[in-house]
Amino acid sequence: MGKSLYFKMAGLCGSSFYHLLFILIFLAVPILSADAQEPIKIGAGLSLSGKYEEPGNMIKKGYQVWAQETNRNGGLLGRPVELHIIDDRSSIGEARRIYRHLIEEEQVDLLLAPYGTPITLAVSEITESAGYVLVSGGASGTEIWDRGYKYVFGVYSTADRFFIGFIDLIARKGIQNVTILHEDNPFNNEAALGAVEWAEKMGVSVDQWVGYNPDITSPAQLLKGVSFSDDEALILCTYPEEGYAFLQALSTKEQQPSAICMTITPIHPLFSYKAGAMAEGVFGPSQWEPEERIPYPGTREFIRAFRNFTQMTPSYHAGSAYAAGQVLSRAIEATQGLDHSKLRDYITAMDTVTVIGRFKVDMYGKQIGHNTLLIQWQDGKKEVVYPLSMHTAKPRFPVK
Amino acid sequence: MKLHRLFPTTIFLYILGPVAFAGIISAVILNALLTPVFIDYFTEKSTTDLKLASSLAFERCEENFHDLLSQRLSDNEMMTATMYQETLREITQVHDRLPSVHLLAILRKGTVEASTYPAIPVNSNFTLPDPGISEVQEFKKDGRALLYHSRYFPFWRLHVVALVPLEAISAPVRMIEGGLIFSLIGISIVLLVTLLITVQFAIKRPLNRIIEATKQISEGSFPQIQSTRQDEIGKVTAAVNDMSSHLKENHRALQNSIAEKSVLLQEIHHRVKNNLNVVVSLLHLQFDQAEKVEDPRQILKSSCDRIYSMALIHEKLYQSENFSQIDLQDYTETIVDQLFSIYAQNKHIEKHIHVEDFYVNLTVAMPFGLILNELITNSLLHAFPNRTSGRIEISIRHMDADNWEFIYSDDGIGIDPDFDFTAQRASLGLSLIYILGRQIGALLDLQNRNGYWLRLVIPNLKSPQ
Repeated sequence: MGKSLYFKMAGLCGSSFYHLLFILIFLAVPILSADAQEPIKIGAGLSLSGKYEEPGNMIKKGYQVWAQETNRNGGLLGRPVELHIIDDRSSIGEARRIYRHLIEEEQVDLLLAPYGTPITLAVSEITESAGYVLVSGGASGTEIWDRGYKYVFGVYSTADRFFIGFIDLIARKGIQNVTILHEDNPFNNEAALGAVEWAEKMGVSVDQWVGYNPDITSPAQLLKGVSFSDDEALILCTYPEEGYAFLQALSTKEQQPSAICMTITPIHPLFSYKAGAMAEGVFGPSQWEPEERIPYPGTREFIRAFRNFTQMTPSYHAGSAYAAGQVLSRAIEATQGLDHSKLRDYITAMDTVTVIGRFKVDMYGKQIGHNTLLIQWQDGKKEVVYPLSMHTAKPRFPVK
Repeated sequence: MKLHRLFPTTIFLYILGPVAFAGIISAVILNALLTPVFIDYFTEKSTTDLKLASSLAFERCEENFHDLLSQRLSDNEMMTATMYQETLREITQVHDRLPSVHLLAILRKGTVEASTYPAIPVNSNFTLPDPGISEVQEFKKDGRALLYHSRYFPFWRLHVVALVPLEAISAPVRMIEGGLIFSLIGISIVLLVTLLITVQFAIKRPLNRIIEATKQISEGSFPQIQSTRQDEIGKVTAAVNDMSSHLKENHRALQNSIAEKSVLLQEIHHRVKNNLNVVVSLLHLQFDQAEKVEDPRQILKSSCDRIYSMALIHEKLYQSENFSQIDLQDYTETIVDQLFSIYAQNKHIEKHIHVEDFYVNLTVAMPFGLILNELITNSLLHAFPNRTSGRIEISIRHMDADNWEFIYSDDGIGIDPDFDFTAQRASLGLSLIYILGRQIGALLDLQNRNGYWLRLVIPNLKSPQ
C-alpha cells in the first residue's frame, strides 16, 4: 500500500536538523517533475482475449488514455501513474490469480477493475479483503453491491435498469408483448430480471422468458423453440459472442420480432460491420455514447484523445473505464493521498460528473446517479433514441 | 332633397344593380374559395396545437418519470404516487399555456384522471376511439365533433390526450366569413357612393349645365359654360360654348339685319313716297315745259328716262348685298348704256367713263342718277346737231377725305355763255341739275371747254368703301 513521502521522512527523523532538512526537501517537492518521482503503480486484470475480449480491449484503451492524460497533466500527487494490465483471458480463475499477484507481489498502489460482472464479482472478494478501492467501469450486476462490500464502486447504471428505455418505447408504440432470452450468468440474469420487472411496470406482457447456458444450448437451438407474435419485441441478454450468433440465427427465422434489443453487442462501434444487415434497427442499452452532441465536462476532449491514441471511436466501455479513472483521480487529489479507507469514504460521498455523466453511489457503492441511454442502429449508424431529451434520432418501428 | 331626385332611376338601375350584384357574387365566390382555405388553416393550426399540447404534457410525464428514475425512486410507492399527482397537475397546466386545447389524462382502463374539458370530467369513464393511432383523429362526444391527439405513457399507464372541439376551429372561420361578407358589402357601398358622387359631380352636373345652356340657347340666350376639364365632358362643353358663341354672333347679325331691313323698309316707303313726289314734281315741271315743246311725246320720253333712272336705283339696290349702298361705277355705266341705246343709235358717240370704286347711299344716288340722266340725255339730244360722232367723258374720283368730284364733259356745241341755272328761262334739264345738285350739297361749276363741261364737288354723305 502506498504511503506519502512526507510520512516516510517524518518517521525516520527526530532531531531539529532533520526537521530542517525535511522542510527543505518538502519545499523542493513541488518543483520536482512527475517523471522524477516514483510512479504510482496501478494494476488491472482485463479480458484481452477470450469471450470478453471485445469490451475488455476497449476498457484497456480507456485506462490507457486516462493514464496518458493524467501524466500529461502532472500525474497524481505529483507522481506519474504506471499501468500494469494483465490479460485474464476472460477467465474468472485467471482474474483471481492476477489480482492476488498485483496486490501481494507487485504491491501496486491502486487497482483498476476488470471487465464483466462475473469476473468483477470474483476479484472484488480479493480486493475487498485487501482493503483496495475498486472502481468498476466494466460491471453492472447489482449482485456485486448486494454483498455489503465497502470498497467496490460502480460507474455503470446497474443491469436491472438496462431495458427501461426500450420497454418504455415499445409500450408507447403499442407493442404489447416481449420475449426475453438471456444467458445464464449474473449480469444477464439480472438484466433479464430487470426487463421483466419493468415490463410489468409498463404494462407489457412477458410472453416468453428463457435463460440458457451457452455451453449447452446454442442460439440457433434456442430460437427454434421461440415464436413471435405480430406485435412482439425481443430482448436478448448475452455477451457479444452469443449476440452475433443470435442475430445470425434470427436472420433465418421466418417470423421476426417487431423490435430487438440486446445487451453489450450493439454497443461496439463495429457492430453494424460485424452483424451486417441484421444490425439495422437493433436497439441496445448503453451507459454512454461518444456523441459530442451530448457533452459532459471533458467528453469532447476524451473522445479526441481516445481517437488520437487508438485511431478508434470509443465505446461506452472505454468511456466508463476513463470515468472510473476520473473518479479515482478526484478522490486522490481531494484526499491528497493513497489511503484507501479515505478514498473509499470520499468516493462514497462523491456526487460528480464524469465524461459519461453523473457519478453518485449509495452506501454500498452501487451507482444510483447514472442512467443508461438506448441506442438504435439506423442506416448503419448508431443513434441515441432514449431518453427523448437526449436523443440524436427518433426511434424507428417496426424495425424489420 | 330626395334621393331619387339626386340620382335618377337609371343610375340606380345601371350602377347600383350591377355593383350590388358584383358585391354579392364576389362575396359568394370569395366565401366559397376562402372558407376551405381558412378551415384548412385553422385545422392545421389546431392540429399543430394539439400535437404541441400533447407533446408538452407528455414531456411533463417524461421529466417526472426520469426524475424518479434518476433518484432511484421508481420503486417508492409514496414518491411515485406524489409524482403521479404532480404529473396530472402539470398535464392540466398545459391548457393554461394553450387555452384553445383541452388536456385529459386517461388511464388505460378508461378512467379520466385529469381533465380541463368540462364535458369529460375527472373520474368519468371515457374510452378513446382509437388510442393506437398517433395522428390527429376526429370523434364525436355527445353529438359534438372533437379533434384529438393522444400519446400513451406506459409508466403511468396514461393516455395523454389533447383535444379541440371542432366548433372552436370553425368559430374563427365563421367570424372571418362574416367579416369578409361585411367588408365586401361595405366596399360595395363605398364604391357605389363613390360612383354615384362621381356620376353626380363629374357627369350629371356638367351635363345638366350643358342641357340648361342648350335650353337657354333655344330661348335666345347664349351662355358660356365655365369648365376647365379636358376630358370628353370638357370637349362637349367647349363645343357647346363654341356653338353658343357662333349662334350669338349669328343672332346679333340677324338682329342687325332685321333692324337694317326694318329701317330700309321704312326708308323704302319713304323713298317710294319721295320718288313719287319727285315723279310728280318732274311731271309738274314737264307740264310747265309742255307748252314750249313741239312734240309732247318728247316730254313723255324724257319723263320715262328720268323715271327709269330712278327705277334703276332700286334695281341696283335690291341687287346689292345690303340694299342701302349703290355701286356708283356700275350704276353710272348702266345709266349711260341705257341712254346710249336709246339716243345714240346710228351715231358714233364715244363714251369715256372713269369711275373710282365708289359706293353711295340712296340719298346721293337718286339725285346723282337724275343729274347724270339729264346730262347724257342733253348731250345725246342737243350737243351734236348735224353731227353723227362725238365724245362724252365722265370722271368720278375722290378729291379728299370729305369730298368727291364728278366731272361731265362732251365735245359738243357747249352751253350758252349767258346761261344761268336760276333763271326762269333755264331749261328743265339744267334746272333739275341745279336743284338736284343743291339737294346733295354739291358745288356746281359749268363751263364751255370745247364743249359742255360740268364739275360737281359732292360732300361725302357715304364714305367710300
